[in-house]
Amino acid sequence: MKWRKGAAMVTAGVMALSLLAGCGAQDAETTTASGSAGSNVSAEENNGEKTVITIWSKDRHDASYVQQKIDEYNANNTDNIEVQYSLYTDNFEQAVDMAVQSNEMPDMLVLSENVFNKYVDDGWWANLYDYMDDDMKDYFKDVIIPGYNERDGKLYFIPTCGTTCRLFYNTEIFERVGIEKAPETLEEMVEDAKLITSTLSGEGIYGFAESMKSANSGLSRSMIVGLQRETGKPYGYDFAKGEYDFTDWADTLKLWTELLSEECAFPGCESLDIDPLRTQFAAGKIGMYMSYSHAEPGVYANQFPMDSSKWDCAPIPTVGNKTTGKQYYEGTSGYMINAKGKNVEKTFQVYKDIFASEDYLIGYYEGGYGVSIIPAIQEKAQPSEDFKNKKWLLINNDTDAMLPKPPHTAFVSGMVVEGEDMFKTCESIYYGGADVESTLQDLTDRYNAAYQKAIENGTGYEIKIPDYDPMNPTMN
Amino acid sequence: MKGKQAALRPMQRKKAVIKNLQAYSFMLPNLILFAACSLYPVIWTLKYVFYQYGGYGTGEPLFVGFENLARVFRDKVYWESVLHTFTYGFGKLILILPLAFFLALLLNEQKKGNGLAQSIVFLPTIMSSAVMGLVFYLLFNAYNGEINKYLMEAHIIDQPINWLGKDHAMKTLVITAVWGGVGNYMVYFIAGIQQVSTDVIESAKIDGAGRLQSIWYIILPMLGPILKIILMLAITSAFNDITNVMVLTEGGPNNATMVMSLYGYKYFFPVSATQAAVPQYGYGAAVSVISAVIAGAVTVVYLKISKKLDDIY
Repeated sequence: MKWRKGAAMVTAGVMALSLLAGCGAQDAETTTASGSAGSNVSAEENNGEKTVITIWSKDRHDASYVQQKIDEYNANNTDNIEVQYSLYTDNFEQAVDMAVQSNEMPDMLVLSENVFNKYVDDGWWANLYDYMDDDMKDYFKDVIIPGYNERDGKLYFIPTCGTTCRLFYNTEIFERVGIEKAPETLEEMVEDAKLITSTLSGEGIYGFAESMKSANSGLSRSMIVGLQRETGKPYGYDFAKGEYDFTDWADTLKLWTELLSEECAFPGCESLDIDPLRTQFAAGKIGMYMSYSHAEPGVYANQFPMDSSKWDCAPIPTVGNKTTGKQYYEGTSGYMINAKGKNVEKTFQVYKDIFASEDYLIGYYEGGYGVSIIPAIQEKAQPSEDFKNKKWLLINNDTDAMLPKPPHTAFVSGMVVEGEDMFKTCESIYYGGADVESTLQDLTDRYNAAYQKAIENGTGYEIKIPDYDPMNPTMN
Repeated sequence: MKGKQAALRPMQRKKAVIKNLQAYSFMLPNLILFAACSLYPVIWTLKYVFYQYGGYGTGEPLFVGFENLARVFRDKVYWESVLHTFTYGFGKLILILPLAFFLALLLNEQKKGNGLAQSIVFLPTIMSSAVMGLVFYLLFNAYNGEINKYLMEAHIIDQPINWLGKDHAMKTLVITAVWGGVGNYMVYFIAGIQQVSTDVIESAKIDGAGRLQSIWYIILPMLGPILKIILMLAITSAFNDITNVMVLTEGGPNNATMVMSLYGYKYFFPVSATQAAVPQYGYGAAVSVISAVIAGAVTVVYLKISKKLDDIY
């Protein structure tokens, strides 16, 4: 009997230990797996093997091009370096968070503003100036912007492409209903959308669509960008006064309510994601929509094929074509180097040889993976017909600029806005019928209260640029 | 005598300890899993109810006391989401239970093809909810959805219905949930029906009871205890349904289909957010705790009311 009890206890003990061992084994496996993809592998230290440099990206659209260039580099480099490239799409930020916590950050990461901002103060990003020679500094001088990628005399990344938002329209539909040019005012746009819907809805063709399943995603690529030019206040923030003011969004929202009504809009915009919208645009069912300038040419060339002559783009219309400021363009295709990695110098070498090389940048632009913002590349590259013929696909200095960050994005976790954010509040107006003026006043009050509270709590700080000129914005 | 007893005690205690040790060692694996997977997350959530925190890399958590809880009570959208949860849950229950019971009665009989039919009805239960949501999007979308196409071809409607618009989105979600869950409840009902003694049904038949009378007076009352469990499962699952809603509508349009579990979730994992997408763990935790209290209260009330179902006739 005793031995049975003993055996039972041993069995239970083994079970418990195996559970813990299981956790341990998992841990070891993870370490090895991430080790192979992480920065801490310094195989060079062992037997003179190759140095492994790891790169993480979140961008699917250019993955095949980047992989091809990396394969070429791995085959040809004489520095005994092997580059390993990993793609994290939907969970990029979480993967980086976990890598930081477990000290397994890769050697290089593709630019993500959220990730950059999150870890810049903890010293995770290398100062590229420490490794750049004068020629390189000169080559990229046009995209070095104090307050953006250069802070306190340190350069953290170099954006080589840029993106902004435009109005995309179907030229064939425009011709059929007799619209001669893209609308410049929001009022014209509503009229054009009504005309298309009333004339062609019998064929399943409608004037306007936007991916409104998520107000945040839909408005970020459309109305909010137009409002930057119209009001000169990015995301409702008046940098000169240092306060939020959404009240001048009223006219735009009233017109957007019309745009999203049955008279104008494609049925089911409320539940539309951007890709289903693009399929319908490619199928010739949608007259106009707004989205990012860098993405759409590639989408209609490869993902949902559409004859290039059937679409074009133009600036996002504003109320009465009012322009008091510039709209943002975002730098893309930059890379950040892990300052705490074991091979920072070699990582920079890889960066310079692959991602900062003229050959790579020309191929990137010509391949339609991004719109170059480097003057030398713009001069030398022969981009696709889309980029040659559709001038508004390019970043335009007359309308577009890098914009400073308002408080809710500068210290995003430090400023907690009670109630619905600006996107959902707009949705409550155009889909919920909320009173425009009082709702926008309430939104203004809530954002200002949250901003002041963040300053009081020490989770935020005052952002004010007294001589801020919306037509010539400065970063600080 | 007392001294002898006192001398025995340490021995007994030792034996008891060894005996208990054995029991505890058997329980240890489960206890570890329970502590790691159930207890720790609950304690973590309860702790962050009192903090403002955006997650790793966003600075130290800031203690805010009861502010998050107070904010929940001021949050109009949250209370609307609670109301939507009840609408969704009630709508799902009143459709799914009679349907599942009817299918169980129909497919419980030993007839050719019933096994296959049971498998087909059960199939949605093992399908991924996310895939199911995408398929239903293709069926229900307003611009080229199959449902509208069939209804128009059958001349039931003249114009496409915007199934995912604010007027119909909740109904569409309920239909999707019923389709996805009916097989599961059918299996529960079949299990219950098979427990009903055939002798009792045979006796009723001899006494002249028809099919409907047997169902109403024999089967249904004798399903009482299992019905109680089925109802409880149905209620609690209705409170937690999230994938379906997220894929089809993300709680929109204008929060018309926002349910409380999704409302809490989006503070932990901002859904489809491209701007300012940092979680609010503290507020999400407060929303989750209040939601758990509401779900718990409903379950307690239900258990009180449903005591009668335990009585087998």
